[in-house]
Amino acid sequence: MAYRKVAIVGAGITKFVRRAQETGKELSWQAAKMALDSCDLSLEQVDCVTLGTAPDAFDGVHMKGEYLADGAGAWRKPYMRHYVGGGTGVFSPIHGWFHVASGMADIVLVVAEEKMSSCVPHPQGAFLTIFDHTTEQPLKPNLIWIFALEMNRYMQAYGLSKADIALVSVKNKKNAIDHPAAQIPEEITVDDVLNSETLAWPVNRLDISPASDGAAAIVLASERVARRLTDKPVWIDGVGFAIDTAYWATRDLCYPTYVETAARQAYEMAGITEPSKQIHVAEPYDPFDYKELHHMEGLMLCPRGKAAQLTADGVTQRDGNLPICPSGGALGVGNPIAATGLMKIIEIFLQLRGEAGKRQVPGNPTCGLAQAWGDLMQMGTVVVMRS
Amino acid sequence: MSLPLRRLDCAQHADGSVVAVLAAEDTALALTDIPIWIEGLGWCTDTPTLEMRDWGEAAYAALSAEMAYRMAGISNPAGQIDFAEICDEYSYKELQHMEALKLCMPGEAGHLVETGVTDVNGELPINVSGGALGVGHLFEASGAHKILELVEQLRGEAGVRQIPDVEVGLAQTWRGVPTATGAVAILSNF
Amino acid sequence: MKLEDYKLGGTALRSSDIKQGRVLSTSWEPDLAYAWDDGVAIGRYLAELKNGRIIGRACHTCNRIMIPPRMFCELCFRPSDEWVILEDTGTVNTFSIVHVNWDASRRGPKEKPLIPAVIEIDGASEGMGIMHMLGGVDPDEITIGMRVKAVWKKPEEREGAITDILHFEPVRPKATKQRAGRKR
Repeated sequence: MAYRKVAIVGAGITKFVRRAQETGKELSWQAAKMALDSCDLSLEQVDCVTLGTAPDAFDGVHMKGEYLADGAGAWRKPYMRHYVGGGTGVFSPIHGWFHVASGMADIVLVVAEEKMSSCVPHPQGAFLTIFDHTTEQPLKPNLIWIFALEMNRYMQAYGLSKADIALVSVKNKKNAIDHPAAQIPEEITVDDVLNSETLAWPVNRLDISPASDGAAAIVLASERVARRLTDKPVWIDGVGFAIDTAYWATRDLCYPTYVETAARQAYEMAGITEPSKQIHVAEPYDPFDYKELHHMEGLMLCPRGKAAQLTADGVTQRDGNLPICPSGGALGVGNPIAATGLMKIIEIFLQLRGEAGKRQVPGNPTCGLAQAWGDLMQMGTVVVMRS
Repeated sequence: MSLPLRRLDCAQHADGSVVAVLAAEDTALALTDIPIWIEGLGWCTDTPTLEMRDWGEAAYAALSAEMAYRMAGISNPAGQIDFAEICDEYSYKELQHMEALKLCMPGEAGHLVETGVTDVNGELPINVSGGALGVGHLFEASGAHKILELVEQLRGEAGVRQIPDVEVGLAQTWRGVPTATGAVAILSNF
Repeated sequence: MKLEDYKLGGTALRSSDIKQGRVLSTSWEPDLAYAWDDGVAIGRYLAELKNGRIIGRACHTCNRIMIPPRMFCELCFRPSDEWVILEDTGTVNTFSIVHVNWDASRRGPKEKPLIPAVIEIDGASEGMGIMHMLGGVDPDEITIGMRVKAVWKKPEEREGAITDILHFEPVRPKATKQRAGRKR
């Protein structure tokens, strides 16, 4: 494969909050500016910009990518918008990676933004249109249904209880206490999760990450430029992305095959043959607690059905053998759909540079992974990074 | 519709789908005798804020073209581009775009159309396919339709629409209202 | 760079900020109407639902019978081969007991919970399911693997929509006739 090496050299992020005073344009500006400042770049030096944000229906802003363009630093620049559901935040660096790896650009600004609060009374309503308009929407589904259906199937397939899964929510919300952008960091117990309101059994309120407003940004650079900008470039060594059929009821929901497909692409590129040993720290997407386990298995970080045991054994704590979501994840930091994955990319970036502050996992990790998932239970995106 | 635009100045919407298969050089040469090469690409977004725009000019088209010309090594567009498919979603846009693409001098586009320079047997055929005004406006697929026209022309497979002896074609799109975004692609058959 | 060394953007608002006018906002309720084409495959699916039947489509290359029917098989990317009438019975693959409406409002205390499920339809390939609702059953009795049968709207009420099936309910094994405890 003939492509150039690409590094992440800077990052920016806003707080993730339930409702931000800022418009999506202003949130994009805040994150993008911080990312440029973090590596001493000015906007003139950026060759291309790419931005991830959810469909226009969320914010009620038509051609939202155009509206956000100037906030994302794209004025009179080559600019594209991309979106693959919750998978977007990890697809964003992949999209930026193409620009640099191909030789078209040396410096790319990658931005991901979401403002879910505009859809009232609750953004769940906007999700109605994710379902097939003829065969599913007439049943008036709520997005939570498909998570509940998948969680139930997963629990049944591997004999797991709600308590087994609730440990993930407990871990991540606690990890988030150390994340400066976190929306709902807190120390809770398994009982708190089990006693929280049942929205759609087996899903309770504390099993779910919150809807959020927020933005994140990173700067990608070609090798030559990266080495001038920083002495700690973090290399994007592997990328993978795969989508499965939108006929989601046709697949066995207990295993995310599309995540495995994406992971294999990324692992092959990065020369990873034993993920559970060679990946030192991972940020899989955790919009619901069971998804962290589901995705760990799809990423082949552990055998199928075993992720819950690893969690119970403490392996996935920050000081465990395979720290998972040291950031606090979507469950603790917040879930502004397109931006969450990029928050996870930024976490791995910082972890591999030893700059994650109180969240730092010990042992000088040199290889990390971020993964996100989206659309109608179908998209997997994976990025493997090394310092 | 909204003066000075009349109904026949505005392209009608259409449903449709166009698919292109791309291949790396070695694979392309193995798959076909007439690969059509992508020589240059450019794309650009100007300000979304209406108040900030130069309404008479299409900066997004000029900047996209500069990027594409640079990549393709084209220094004299009017001389080096044989034919073009450019966005005519509204009739005046074709003229505005011709000038932004430097296919003619500023203000000259109308004269070129009136004197037949942009007809199929003129010196610089533009929108021989019929463009959006003739074929229908395919929104996000409109650019792909322009690429299809370029490929058919460059392969000599354009039938009654065939322009003789073409080697380099240009496709340009505008993202449509309310944007100031566009893209340019330059294709060749040699 | 440590996140802790930067002043992060994003200013959190509370709903009281807006209600009490400390922060201004504008609102819009769009009025959007769509008329979706059902397509060749789903058009037939709906027409058969009006007839009280569930129809699928077969791909001979992949040896599968698909529901919902598709004119192309997305696995081998060929046109699919023939229509197949399926049963209106199936097996529960997964289900949920739901206490919220589509727009996140809570169902009232007198409203029964909604029970969406993925139901693998008999006659289609293994694992081929559709989403629909379960009804006529106590939530506590539902199990994955349970056998269910469609409950149809009356023929004159059917429109050619997925809602021509009201819901699926458990197939109860035929009870042996028992006298209601009268002594002879």
